[in-house]
Amino acid sequence: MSTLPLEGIRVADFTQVAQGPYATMMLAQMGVEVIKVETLDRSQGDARQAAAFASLNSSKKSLTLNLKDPRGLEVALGLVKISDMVIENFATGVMERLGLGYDDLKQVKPDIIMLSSQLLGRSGPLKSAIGFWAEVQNFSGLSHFTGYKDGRPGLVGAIWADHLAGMLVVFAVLTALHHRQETGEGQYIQVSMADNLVASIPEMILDYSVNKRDDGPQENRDASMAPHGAYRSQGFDKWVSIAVTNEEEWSALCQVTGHPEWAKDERFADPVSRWSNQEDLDKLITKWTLQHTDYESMHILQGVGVPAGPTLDAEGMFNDPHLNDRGFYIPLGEKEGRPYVHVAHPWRSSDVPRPYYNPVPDLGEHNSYVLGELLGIPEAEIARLTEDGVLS
Amino acid sequence: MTEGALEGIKILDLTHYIAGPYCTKILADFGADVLKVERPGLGDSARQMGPFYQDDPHLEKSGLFLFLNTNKQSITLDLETATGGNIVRKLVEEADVLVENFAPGVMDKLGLGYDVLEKINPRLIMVSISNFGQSGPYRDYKAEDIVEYAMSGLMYVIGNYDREPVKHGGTAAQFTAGEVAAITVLMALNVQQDSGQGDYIDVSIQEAVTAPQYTLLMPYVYSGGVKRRSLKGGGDLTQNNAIATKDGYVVPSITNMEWSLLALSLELTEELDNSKFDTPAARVLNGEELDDIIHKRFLEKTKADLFHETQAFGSSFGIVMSTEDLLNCPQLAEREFFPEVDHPFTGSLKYPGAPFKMPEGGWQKGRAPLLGEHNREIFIDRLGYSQEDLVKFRELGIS
Repeated sequence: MSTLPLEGIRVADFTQVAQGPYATMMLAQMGVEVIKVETLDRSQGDARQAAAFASLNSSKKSLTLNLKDPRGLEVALGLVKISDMVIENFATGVMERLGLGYDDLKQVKPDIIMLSSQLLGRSGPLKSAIGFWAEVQNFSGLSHFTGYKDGRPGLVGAIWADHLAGMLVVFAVLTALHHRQETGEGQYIQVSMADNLVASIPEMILDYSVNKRDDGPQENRDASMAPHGAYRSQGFDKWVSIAVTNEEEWSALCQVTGHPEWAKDERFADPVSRWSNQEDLDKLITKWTLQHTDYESMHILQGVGVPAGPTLDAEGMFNDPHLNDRGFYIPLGEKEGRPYVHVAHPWRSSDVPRPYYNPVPDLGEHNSYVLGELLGIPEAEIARLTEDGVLS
Repeated sequence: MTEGALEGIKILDLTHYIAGPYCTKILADFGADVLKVERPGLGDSARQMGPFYQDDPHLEKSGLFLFLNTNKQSITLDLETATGGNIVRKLVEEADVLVENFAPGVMDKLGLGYDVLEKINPRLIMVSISNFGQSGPYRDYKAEDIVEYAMSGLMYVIGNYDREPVKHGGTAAQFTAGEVAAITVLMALNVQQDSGQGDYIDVSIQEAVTAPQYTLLMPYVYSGGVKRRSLKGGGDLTQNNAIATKDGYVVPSITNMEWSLLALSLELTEELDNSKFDTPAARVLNGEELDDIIHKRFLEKTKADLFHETQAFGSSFGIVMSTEDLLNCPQLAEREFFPEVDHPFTGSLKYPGAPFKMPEGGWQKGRAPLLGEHNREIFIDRLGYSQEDLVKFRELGIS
């Protein structure tokens, strides 16, 4: 089989920043022809130099268009007419103001699938709320549960909300695509980044909803497992995460670390006592982990069936033997003198060919392809549009 | 209720715990016909995980299980028995998709590997979700959510510089992998519908969390930079630390906000009009002094006040929402995000609902099945066994 799984589907991509572009990149790598509509209006030229941009926009085609120019809008609607889906994540109302609301798109393409994704959704009292991932992570309850027991909540770390929501966008449009194949109907899908994140902590929501319990920041504690945490290892700021899930693993840990006396200590004799005395236990385990590197601890513990793994930093992630063995990092040669590496999809497929990974397009690289080949606009007209700044 | 968009897609669900069930849940919530196979007696391990309704640790009262298994059917079957294996292979004949999340190698040992199943049904899409994937040196290593977080790079940057890294609360690695697996099902279905071709898909939970970490990875690839947890100092306002208000915490976001506008929105124009605070560097150097002013003002306001006041000035403070806040949030309420789902053992409970709004073929509001609730329907009506067979199955521990 030579085609990609979603070959033949076209997306007009009006997304920016992280969440929307992450979604459309996943689609592009599954074979969708993603035409990213960009503008020179804002300082996108600089943003495009950033590593983040390259990591979010590979495998797409780039079209520059001034959407505030009526002829730019006409080109955009022409693109919609030959697309299966339109995906956007402007603030609520922007697409409508540009003349690209769902009602406008339906006029030119009745079975179009349009998806809008906003911070807190397009309805409700906060439909116009602005912000970025950190605000969503705080709003969704995730940061309320992330932090130290004796500290403040609200630790957000790195971008997370955007990617989880980006995956949901892909799920949503593929669900709608299936529906269109069965019924011929297009539709308008609305995503709220916050809703999706709330749905990823149902244990907490339900514990409050049914038992009125909310314990706040979880640190690295589990509700029943102990030991369960990140333990300092040899080296500078190195940590190994360990989770003991049952008695067999506990006794294996005591044996392999050379501390059979821990298993006999009444503070740790059964899971409930271990959980109650986990601070004492953590101190003892740290004495052992400090004598080993994070990877040594993992291999020793995993060797006897105890879940453990190094808490990897960027260098560790990039060099991890397992991820590399699975071909997780895909070298794409050089672009503008820099090595360019892409991260694979988090899956491998046997029958469908390897996803399509291509470097990020240059700004407007596909203007003449889209206008000429796809929309059949004569060359002289394209030249005029270029000269008049419509393609900028 | 209108039919879900995925109506008619037959999914055989051999999953347990979180990642696999979340994958089949979101497919079932949009109409897919999901048949969950559970072990006799105890069922899915999630049935033994809290929170339990009224703290009663009953197999039918796990909130986690109830949320993760909405709109599915349940049969009980011991896959290690010959009859159990035969029944699964029979069910595979009619299935479009099989999802499983056993440790790598278990399906093969059960005689249910892809090489066996694709001969029974060449159209079959089989998705395997595992901790580290089906290949590579850690293939057989064990993991819990904390280990996945650790090995994805995300955990390393969460927390204080001088303390241990912390993971997000909850089990988000599992949910992420479930979302990824659901995407692969739809992707492969697109091929199956076009060409009748099946597929085997290997989803790694470690990779599901690592794949989006380009903001951590790329600085290392390009320049050797390694992001670490934030240093203390510089003040809470400039470091985006959570700050206490009258009724909880707010995380300030001042990077995209004009300083004078922030002062205006906090009604602190006089106090902040000071050369000690007039540049970003000065604000970091005099962070503690700045915090004294800010902390005092924040304690006079509610989280919601601060959120709305900064929104009005074109910026956004993040409210750290507790579960109580979420369940009482007017925004989520107006979007009907917490529908009440009825269940014979718990009555009506509020769950997180539709993850997106889809007018045609949208989200279905159904409950999780009781353990083996559909044994009769599947074994007798669909597979042609008799009521006496069901008794034998029970006595022999098969079902």
